[in-house]
Amino acid sequence: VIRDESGAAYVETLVAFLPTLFFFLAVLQYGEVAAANLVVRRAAQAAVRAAVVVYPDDPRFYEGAAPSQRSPYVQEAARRTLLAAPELDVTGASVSVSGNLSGTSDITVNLTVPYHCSVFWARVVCGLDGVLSLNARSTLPYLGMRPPAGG
Amino acid sequence: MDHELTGRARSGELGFIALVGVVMGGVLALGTWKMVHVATALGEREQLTNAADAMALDNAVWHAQGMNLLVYMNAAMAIVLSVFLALRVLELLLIAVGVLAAIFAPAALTAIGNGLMRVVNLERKVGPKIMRILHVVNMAERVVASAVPALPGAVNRAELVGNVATKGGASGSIDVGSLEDYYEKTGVIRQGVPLGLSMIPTLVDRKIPGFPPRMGNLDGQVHSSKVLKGIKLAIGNPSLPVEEEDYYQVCSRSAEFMTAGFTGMLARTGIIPDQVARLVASRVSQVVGTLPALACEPFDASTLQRELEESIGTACKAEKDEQESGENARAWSRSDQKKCEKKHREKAKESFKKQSAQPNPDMIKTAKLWNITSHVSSAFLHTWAVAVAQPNSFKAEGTLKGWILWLSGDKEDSNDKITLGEAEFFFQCRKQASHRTCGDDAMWRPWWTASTVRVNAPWKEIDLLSVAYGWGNNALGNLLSDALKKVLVSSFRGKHAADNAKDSGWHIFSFLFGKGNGSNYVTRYTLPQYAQDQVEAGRQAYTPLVKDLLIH
Repeated sequence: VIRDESGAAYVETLVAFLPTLFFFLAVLQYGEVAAANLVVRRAAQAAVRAAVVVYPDDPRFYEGAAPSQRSPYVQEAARRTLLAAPELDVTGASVSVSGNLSGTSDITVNLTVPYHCSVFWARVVCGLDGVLSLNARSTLPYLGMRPPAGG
Repeated sequence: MDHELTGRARSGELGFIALVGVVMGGVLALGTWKMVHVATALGEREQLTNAADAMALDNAVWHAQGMNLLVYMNAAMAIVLSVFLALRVLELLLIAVGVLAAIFAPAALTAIGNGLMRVVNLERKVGPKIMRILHVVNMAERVVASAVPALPGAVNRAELVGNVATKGGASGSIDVGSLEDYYEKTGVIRQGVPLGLSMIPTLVDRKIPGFPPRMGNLDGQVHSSKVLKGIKLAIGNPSLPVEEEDYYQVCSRSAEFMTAGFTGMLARTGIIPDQVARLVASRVSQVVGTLPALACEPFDASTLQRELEESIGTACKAEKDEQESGENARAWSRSDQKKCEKKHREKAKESFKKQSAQPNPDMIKTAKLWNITSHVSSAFLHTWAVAVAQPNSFKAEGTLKGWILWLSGDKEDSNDKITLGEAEFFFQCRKQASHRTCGDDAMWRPWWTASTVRVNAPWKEIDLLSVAYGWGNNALGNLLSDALKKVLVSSFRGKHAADNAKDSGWHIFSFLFGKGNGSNYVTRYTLPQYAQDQVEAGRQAYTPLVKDLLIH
């Protein structure tokens, strides 16, 4: 009778422990995702800040590249911030800039970054492939009021 | 016994659960700790960046407002001088009418002569007052040009000290700084330093031969006031990127203002069509711009100048005679003559300044955009700011080093506590015209504004070609002007004719060798052109200068 009780306790513990462990890992995973999401939002801000100053900037700082060819500088601004969260797939990040590049029009950067959930066993909360797509948008006024550079 | 076994088994279970709970709780706490630190680090980074941006922009806004203030002062000078100009034009008209009357209606000659005398007397009465006002405004321009670059730093400093004082800080240390109050009580920012190339003392410009010096000093502009003489020492002042422009530039602008106002009024009342009004305004301003000595030079000033030249000639002749006679006689060379003229000109100028109660046109200058800043993204039109974090900030970021949380990207070995911000102030040309084509209007329209720009090191932004261009332009222009001046200096119209020639020299030089920021009538965006643009833009039929200033 005593052995039976002991076995039951172990089984009971196992049955209760596994969901508890999963729940705990899921919470941990969720925390990681929330932290990465903050980084993505900050990266979008950095990217839009770069966009509003890089596009109207003097071409001589870009080896004569036209504004439309300066997207790499905006992407780089986002990339540097995204490095803060190692689970973010920086190479797969997609940065799109929208808005009218003139006057003080609103410029919006839309940033989408794949996030690889890495917490053991709980990564399924991110989907069967364990990858989430984190997205952030940020808007600032374009700083292109000045006359064309180099005049 | 059963009881004991059951008890042991239960106590074992409890221990196991407690252990798992401790481990799980600990890991969860670590996770929460990381999340909080990530958020803190991101926030601190953002605050530091924002503070640097805000300070740089604040600095640029100060500069832009200073430039706009100079524009208003220039415009004020033009408006005041237009009163004088109106009298002078009236005199010229009466003379012309008198000539015609002498031929066609001699009876009217007396009345015209009386009228002319009244206007001349009025001019003699009003002229000195106008010159004095112009001189005072010009001095104020110098003070503004000199003070503005230092203001952003001074205001921050005052704010800092003020806050320490009001807090009654026991330490009295400025480290507690106001910037944390100023920038939304972040607690992250320890100190902010606004920087800009305008802070370079004007002494540097003046020490480089042929380099166009900036405006921000009172050297050579003060005469009788002991207090102001003391300010001469302040030649090391910083200065906004403006240089001195000749008195005759104000004269030309006054003509634009006067004719545009007058013809615009006639056009509005329907007496003359718009196009005719614009044509008249354009032609009159061109004529006056071409003959500034005739249109804007006070009678007394020309007399004084002539006397000044004569006194120099007499003094040098005496020295020459002395050198060429006696036992140790030696020939009077050209360089002797030059040295003598220079020496006596300075002496005579001082003497005339003391004697003359009225400032002469030589002492009245207006502000012009500095020749060196011909490039729109010139480093001299940019401002920077350094935001320094509190020593205890970025702890979160530092602690997270092991988690590879480096918001500064690749710089994994440094925990940056300093961030740079950059902004610029610029003249917003109409129709997005290039900077150079409307550079002449830069100090005549209050369209200076500021904007944040991408951070670049100052040495990367200094366009040596542009500096060399401005330098060469100035040096060669002066050479040409001096040559013309030398040819004309002995003419009956005295020194001012030579100054006109100097001005003409500049125009010829600008015309031949490019469209510099100098006085270039070819590319200048004149008021009639502006009015035309307004019509094209469908805004209104005609906009004289005053209204223009009020609108903007």
